Amino acid sequence: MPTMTFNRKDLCKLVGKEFTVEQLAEKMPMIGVAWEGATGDEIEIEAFPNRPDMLSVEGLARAFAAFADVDTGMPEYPVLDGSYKVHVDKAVTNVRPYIACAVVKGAKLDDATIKSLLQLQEKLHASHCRRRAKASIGVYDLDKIKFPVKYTTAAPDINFIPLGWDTPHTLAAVLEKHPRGIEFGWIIKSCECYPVLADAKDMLLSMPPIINSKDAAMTVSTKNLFIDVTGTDQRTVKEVLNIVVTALADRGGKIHSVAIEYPKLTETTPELSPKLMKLDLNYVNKLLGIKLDMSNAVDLLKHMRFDAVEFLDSKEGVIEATVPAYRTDIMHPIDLVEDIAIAYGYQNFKPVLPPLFTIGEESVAEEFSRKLVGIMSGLGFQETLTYILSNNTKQFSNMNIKELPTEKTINPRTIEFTSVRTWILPSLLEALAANQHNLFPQKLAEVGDCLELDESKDTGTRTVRRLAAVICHDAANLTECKSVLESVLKNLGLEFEIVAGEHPSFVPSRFGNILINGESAGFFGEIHPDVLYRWKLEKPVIAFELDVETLQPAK
Amino acid sequence: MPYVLTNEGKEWLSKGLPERQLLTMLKNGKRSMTEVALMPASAIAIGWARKSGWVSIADNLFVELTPEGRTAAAGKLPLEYALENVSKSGETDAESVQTLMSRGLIREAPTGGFIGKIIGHKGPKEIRGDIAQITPEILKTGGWKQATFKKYDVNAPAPALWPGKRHIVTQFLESVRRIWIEMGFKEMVGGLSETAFWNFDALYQPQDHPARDLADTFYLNPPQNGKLPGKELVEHVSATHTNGWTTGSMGWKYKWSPEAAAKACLRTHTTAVSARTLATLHKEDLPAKFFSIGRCFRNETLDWKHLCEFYQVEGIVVDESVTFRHLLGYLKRFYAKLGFPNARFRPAYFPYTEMSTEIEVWDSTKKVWLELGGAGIFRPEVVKPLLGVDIPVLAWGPGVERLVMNTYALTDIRQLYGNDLSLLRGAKVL
Repeated sequence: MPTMTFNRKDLCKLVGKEFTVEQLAEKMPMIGVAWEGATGDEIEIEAFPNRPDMLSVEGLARAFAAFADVDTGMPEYPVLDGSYKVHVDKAVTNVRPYIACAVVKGAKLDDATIKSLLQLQEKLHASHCRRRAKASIGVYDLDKIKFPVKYTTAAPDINFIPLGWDTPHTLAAVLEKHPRGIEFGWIIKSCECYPVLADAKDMLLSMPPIINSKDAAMTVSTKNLFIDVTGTDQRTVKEVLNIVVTALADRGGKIHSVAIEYPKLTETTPELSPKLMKLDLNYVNKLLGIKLDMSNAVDLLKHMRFDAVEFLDSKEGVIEATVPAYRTDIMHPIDLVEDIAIAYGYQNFKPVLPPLFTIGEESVAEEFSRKLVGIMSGLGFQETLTYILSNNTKQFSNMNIKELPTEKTINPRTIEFTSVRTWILPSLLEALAANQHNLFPQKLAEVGDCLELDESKDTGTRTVRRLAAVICHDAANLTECKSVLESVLKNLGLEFEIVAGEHPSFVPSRFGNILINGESAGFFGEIHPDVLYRWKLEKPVIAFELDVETLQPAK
Repeated sequence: MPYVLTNEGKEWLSKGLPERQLLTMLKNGKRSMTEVALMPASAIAIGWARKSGWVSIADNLFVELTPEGRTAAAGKLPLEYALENVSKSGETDAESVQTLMSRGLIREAPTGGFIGKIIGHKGPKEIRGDIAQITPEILKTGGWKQATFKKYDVNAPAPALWPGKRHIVTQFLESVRRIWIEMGFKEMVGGLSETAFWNFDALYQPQDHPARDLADTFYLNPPQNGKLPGKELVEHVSATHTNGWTTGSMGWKYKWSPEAAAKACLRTHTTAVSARTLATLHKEDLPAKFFSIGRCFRNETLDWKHLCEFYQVEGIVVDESVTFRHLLGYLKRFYAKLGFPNARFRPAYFPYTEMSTEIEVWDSTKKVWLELGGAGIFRPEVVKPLLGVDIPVLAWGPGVERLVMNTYALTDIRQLYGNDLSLLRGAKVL
């Protein structure tokens, strides 16, 4: 989840009231951000993914001011009519079809604002914009641009000076060599022509979603801003623009509209008109288990920056809430209920148990597994807990056997985990290998899950529970193994048959299959010295492994 | 034959063997012979280190570590394990016994004295000296009546024994299981692998959600795809994602792909098991309370803080009457029974719950709040497609690893799955 940093003084100035770091550390988590820590006045928090509006100090201050009862209710963000136009060429339709723009004039563009704006841009790109694939933001010096602006595509050999470089390069070169091109080039690489924004004098403004041009970039003397958001998802594009412009408006900026002229229709952005949502007070109280009256609920909503009134045209107890445009997460009345709960304070809910009568019950498989572990413990075996993820070296080649079909993981970050185990014995040999410095005899057992391919299941696999055990000491031998195995089976009341066999992991003639009702239930034997060598084991090992389902009494 | 540490053995056990002290001294670079000679027991240290090939001495002036020496310095020496084993249990492997004896660091433990000897074959046996071991014969003949018992020192060391016992994590899980059953919950079980449908889509996690990336989830191939459930359920889930269906939600507003939902993956949470359970429930089954304890998988880089596999404790309560306060009530009671009477809750975010909360319990030893994981009330967008009606479903899925680590004062999470016998054999039973 994205973290963001801000300065305490800057926040307090925006909130309009002083708070110490300690007060913030206590209160902020209760509004729904995670407190990561503070160094002096520099504070780091983690915003939840559903609240991209809290990725700027302005948005955080806005929410906090209401929560801390400094300034409640919905903030107004008037959009002034602008005569700015952006013409959208149909060439972008198959590349990056949507764009939303705004002009912000007169924001106080000091260090704190610029720093916050850059951070907001970066954090939005990483989270809500899905690493720029879904949407990306460009900010320019308005006064360097001649309108109308064109959103179109350009051939790869067109030149411009990207931010960060001093000389003109082709779009193709930027995509290939510029650090941002290397990082985000994959988003548009397959296109024949690349999306660009250019002004009326054909000055290239940017190459979304990669980089802006130096020509229209913000500088220390910039007073007014032009902002664009392009992307593949129209809703996200508009949401992101709203989050950016409202943050700038909190710094004193005046928002002006831009007409976006698509080939077939024209729309005006940003769209900051709030949406209305009805909320039944009974629904709130029923879910939260508290008794709020209308004025309580309205007041709590205002402390979360909504406007709310009692809706008088219908049955009693309905609230009409006004949801500001930057709250992209409100998609169901339940989201308002949660905000009421947050404003009420999670610490103020008294935990209570409901009078619900139900009967507890353990799963049959778990109950039986516990019996098995109990028998093994009685026989002196230490239970182990090993990884279910494995790889083919451990499962097959170390065991002296040919590779069998097995589930493979795609793209594992830990290179050791390329498949899922189909048997437990290799895990136990690995555990023995890790314990060579500890005292012998070592007797280990595990009841654990394995995975088998099974096309008849909806997941394409079957989870199989198995019991495996190993004994390792200077004089471990097949007789000892058989004693333990027979003791387990007899204690389960099972009739079984042992059939001599061969298995490449075991010493020839020292291996047996176990049949229960004629069905294969597992095997036992003495581990082959080749296998011991591969696991770097220096003492003899005997082992057995059983299929738990076959041992379990039929229901 | 049990052994005990000599005074010298005890001294080196606490200070570190001379060769260890030398290795430590040389870890950061070579030192002059004069400096090394000032070290206590420097002659033993140098002698032993040279014999083991750990150091080289240049021009009789400087001592430095060889590559073998650097390896030795980084790990624990076999003799250090042996010394610890003798101190704890009176035993160690035969080779180390020889070395330790020859270095005068251990000696045989004093036994109870000489064995009582029986002479003669007829009549009451005469016993010369004191009886050490009482034998069936002595008892049968009554020979002990004329003899005295050898004095034993009850403080003398006895060989260590380790019971066969449960792993520290599964012991903890058994307590967890027992508590939920006591509280009237029925156990549900699911498979290790899932289709993305049950792991994500049924839980209203949009298909472009970052948690669904290859970088976070273990997708499989084979099997690349599984099968989607019945048409009706798939349609309802699809519609809910697209436009909210009849749940009263606006939905995520994108085109839902059945192909993405059919992908096979290792479950990233047991919440998938809850989703499957909800899909089988009918109105007459309510109120219903379920729990599940299961292994889950995340595509992580394995380190001291992160595992690719972990246990999750899942629970749901389904009834028209349940509230957010009941959610907190169940969790608070559960953690109190587990030994953490002080629990608190703060806001959190999960795509499938609203209210969402993060559970923290107070660790009274370390005096810190431990973050344990999430809980909430399933969103209508989750419940209605699965259950057919929108009624409150309380849900939680915190982890347990942190609490086990805490119980056994472990600092590296990999220790939980490392199966080190010195840890497991020495760990107290919960």
